[in-house]
Amino acid sequence: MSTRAGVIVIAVVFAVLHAYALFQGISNLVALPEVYLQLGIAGLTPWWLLLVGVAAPPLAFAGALVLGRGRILSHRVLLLAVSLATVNAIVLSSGALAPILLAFAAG
Amino acid sequence: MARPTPSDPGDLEDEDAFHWAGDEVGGRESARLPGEQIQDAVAGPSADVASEDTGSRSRPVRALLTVLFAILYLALTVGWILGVGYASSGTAELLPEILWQFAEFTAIVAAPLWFGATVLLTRDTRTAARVGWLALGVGVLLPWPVLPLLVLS
Repeated sequence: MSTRAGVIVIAVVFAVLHAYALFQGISNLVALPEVYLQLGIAGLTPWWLLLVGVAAPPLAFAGALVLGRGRILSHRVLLLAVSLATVNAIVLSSGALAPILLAFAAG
Repeated sequence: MARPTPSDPGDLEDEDAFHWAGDEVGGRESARLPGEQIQDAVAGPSADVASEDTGSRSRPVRALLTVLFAILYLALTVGWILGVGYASSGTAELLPEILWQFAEFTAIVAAPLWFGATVLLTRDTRTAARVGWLALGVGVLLPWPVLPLLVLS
């Protein structure tokens, strides 16, 4: 397999893995405001946190691709792995931050 | 057989054959190796000593900062190991549970991966670039899920 083909395969595999994180972010963006609405606290919806959860996966993936340009395949894989791990950490952090922000907002 | 005189074209070709590209000033003006910079060749020993001196002065600072960040990233990793225990997928289905567990695992290894990648890929960059990337990683990878544990303790 040529290096170019390897780069494409690696990019596609990591794109799928990033897509799951994006799916989680979109799910949170759709579901959480509904929950807050039903609880009567729609005004406390942490929109910025939900938007970070949606924006982080594609931005991190694109950033890893840009930083990996001109590098060897193993360094590209490393950058994409860092991107995926960071995105998942951000998704978990946003899930933990939402109730914390709610507790602060409710006093 | 008559030998060619210096004015003969054949003699000029022979001289070209013995002429090495870059021999204009003692071999210092032209690059000999692919990617070699002409400035490196003509800089001379004084420039090399100066750059080595600067490098040797910044090296301990760079190493110290890297070690400090290594301790920070170790703390982040421990925080994530403790923090993922407080998060759950919220479903009993197999595939989402597997993906959730994978996400938790990658979140745990995010800090060591970021640190390792930064140290590896900033070997030839300035100290500020390495410190900047490491500081960005600390900010992004704060283990927020561990906060309830800290509050409870």
